[in-house]
Amino acid sequence: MRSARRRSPASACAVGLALLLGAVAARAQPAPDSTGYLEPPPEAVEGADYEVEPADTLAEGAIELGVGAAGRAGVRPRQTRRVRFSDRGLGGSVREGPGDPLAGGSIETTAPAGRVGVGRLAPRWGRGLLLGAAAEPWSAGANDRGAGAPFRGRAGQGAWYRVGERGAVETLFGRFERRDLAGGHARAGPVGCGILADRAGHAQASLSLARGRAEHELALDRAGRWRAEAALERSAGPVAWAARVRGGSAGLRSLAEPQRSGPARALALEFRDGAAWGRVNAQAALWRFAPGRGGARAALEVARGFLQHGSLAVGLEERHGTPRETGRSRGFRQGGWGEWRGAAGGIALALRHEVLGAERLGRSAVRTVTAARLELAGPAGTGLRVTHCAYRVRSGESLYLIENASDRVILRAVTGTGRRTRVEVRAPGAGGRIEAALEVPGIPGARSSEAARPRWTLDWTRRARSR
Amino acid sequence: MRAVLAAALAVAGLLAPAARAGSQDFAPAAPGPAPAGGASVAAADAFLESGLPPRRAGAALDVSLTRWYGLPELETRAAVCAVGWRSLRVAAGLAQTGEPDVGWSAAGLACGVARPEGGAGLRAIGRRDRAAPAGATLAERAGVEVGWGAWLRAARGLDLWAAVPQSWTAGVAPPLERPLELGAALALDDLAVWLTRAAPVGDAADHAAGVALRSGPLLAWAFARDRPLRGGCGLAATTRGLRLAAVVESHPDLGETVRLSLGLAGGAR
Repeated sequence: MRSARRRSPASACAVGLALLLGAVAARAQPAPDSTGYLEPPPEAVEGADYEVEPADTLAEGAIELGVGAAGRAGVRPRQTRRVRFSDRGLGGSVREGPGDPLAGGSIETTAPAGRVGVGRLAPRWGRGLLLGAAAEPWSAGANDRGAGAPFRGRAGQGAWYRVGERGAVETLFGRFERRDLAGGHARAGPVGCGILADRAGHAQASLSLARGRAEHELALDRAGRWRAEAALERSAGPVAWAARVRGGSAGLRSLAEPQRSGPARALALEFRDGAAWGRVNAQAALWRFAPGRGGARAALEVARGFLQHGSLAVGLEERHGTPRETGRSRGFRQGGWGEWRGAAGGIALALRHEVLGAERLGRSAVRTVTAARLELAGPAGTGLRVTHCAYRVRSGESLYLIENASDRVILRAVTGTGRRTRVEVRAPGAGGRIEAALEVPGIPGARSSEAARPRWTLDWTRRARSR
Repeated sequence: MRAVLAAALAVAGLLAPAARAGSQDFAPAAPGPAPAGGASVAAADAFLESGLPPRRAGAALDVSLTRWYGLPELETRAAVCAVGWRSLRVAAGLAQTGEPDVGWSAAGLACGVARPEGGAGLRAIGRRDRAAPAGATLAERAGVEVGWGAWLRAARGLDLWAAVPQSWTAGVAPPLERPLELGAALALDDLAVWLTRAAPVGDAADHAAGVALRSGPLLAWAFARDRPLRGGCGLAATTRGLRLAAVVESHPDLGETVRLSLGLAGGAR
């Protein structure tokens, strides 16, 4: 049974239970500094580069300035400028530059009884059924929505006002997905409720309950369509279990983020063991967007750190169906990966190999990636990082390689067969930090094509005290 | 012309998709590309060939002769000198392949740093046709490749490495395409084993494995490669800083490759 589409409901359940109980496989999402790859969220254009801003914090009284340029041979360079500040309760960030997908900004300050802000919006209510959903059906939380997320996402643009400790009452007005929305969310103890409405009179409501490590949410619209999700987590020492179940109407789509509405029905289990000998993370998930369109995924990751000699991580993953509500269903995929990292004497080396196949044990590979990364630490804060990657991606498949720029993480879309070398140099300079990168792609038979031209970036960042 | 010989190799490639030996002008007569770990020998040309700097410091001079696939007209003559001082490593070499009217000359330079627990190096090779057609531009008769390598001690006796001999190329394409190679070598006293995996250039990846055994001044090794399955063996003797090595590799379609090497080493620490 290679595809969820071909499967009868009974056999689909059997396979799903087998996946859940057996934890057949697994590739957990790698860290942003991994030599591997991530996948962009569903609202991103498939097969195109995707850029996201890390959500690092700025100390009180600090200001950060940055100037950058990027380009490739034969193309006019793209300049970017940015400023971030935080002082006496006033904080914000602004980016600008022609063609910069992260251009824009946000500013927030103290206001009577709370805080107010304008600009980029990426809120999260409850489990995210209406606002702040996870990008993937198997993920418990969004990594670019809500406070504390590692990345600053962009769900919309507008203004917000929060009252009370930790935002007991929140109102927002903004433009989300070409739609003007207004909403309010209030929380009293473990209970939260929110309403979201647009100019056309469409409205959705959310009722959530958070107690300890359990969180539940019910969302519904005026047509009576609803979705509910319950998430539980239990832990005993280094061992933790998490479960998540969702159900409801397939027709309910978030007004703010319709492309992140996710599946109408989902069941996910996660097991984590942070034992002294290593770390184990097993995930299993089943989901269904609509009849005939759903998927399943199981993943297992085992990582072990060694006292003096780095760390080793291996993983297995199996997927069925599709993780997207629209687009082509890729069917069965099974693969594995391994990554070793070590560092000694100012030299750090990371080696990684992963394969994903359309048949069992990674056979009929649709995606193969081999990568090596070398980092050398020099004197006075200088450093050199060289990453080389060789890949083979079958037609119709996408691969996104991670690039860590000084002010953003770029998921670079590649396809076909090729290799890529990225050289990054950092050094203190002009009162700040200078980072330069040169990327040299190698695509067989395409030496003169645009994709094969070298790409470069240059960035200067200075962080200072504002008073 | 180098193109003629490269074409010969390409024909060989058609006969056997994995004709790549993973080495070119400065191929060492040493067991695998391991960074001088365990029972392997710190051949000066290994640094130039792979970008992996030797663990030990000191000076070395290697001259070698390689007859590829039993073809007298396809011989490579190379001389490499290497110097290591503290953690710095430098190697330079010259090589000629083929007859005066058909063949190419190559010059290589490698530099890097190495400590007992790890090392990293940068290597560059420039090649020029010995007999280029009249009017040919420099880009039509010469080429350059730049790459790097790094290794790290992952555990006691275990070295892991990555070598990218051709991160960047310009001008005439090198005779053989050499992709990213990952490897591991485990040394147990006088015994060493190694595995390598080269990223696919064609349909699938290339793998190699070998074992080396030291007995006094003698070092013997055997290795095997896939696509197609083939193998070889080597023997090296070292005495008073003088090193003599020979390697024979057999290919089911292309014949035998024989490599002889004579080296001097001194001041190693």
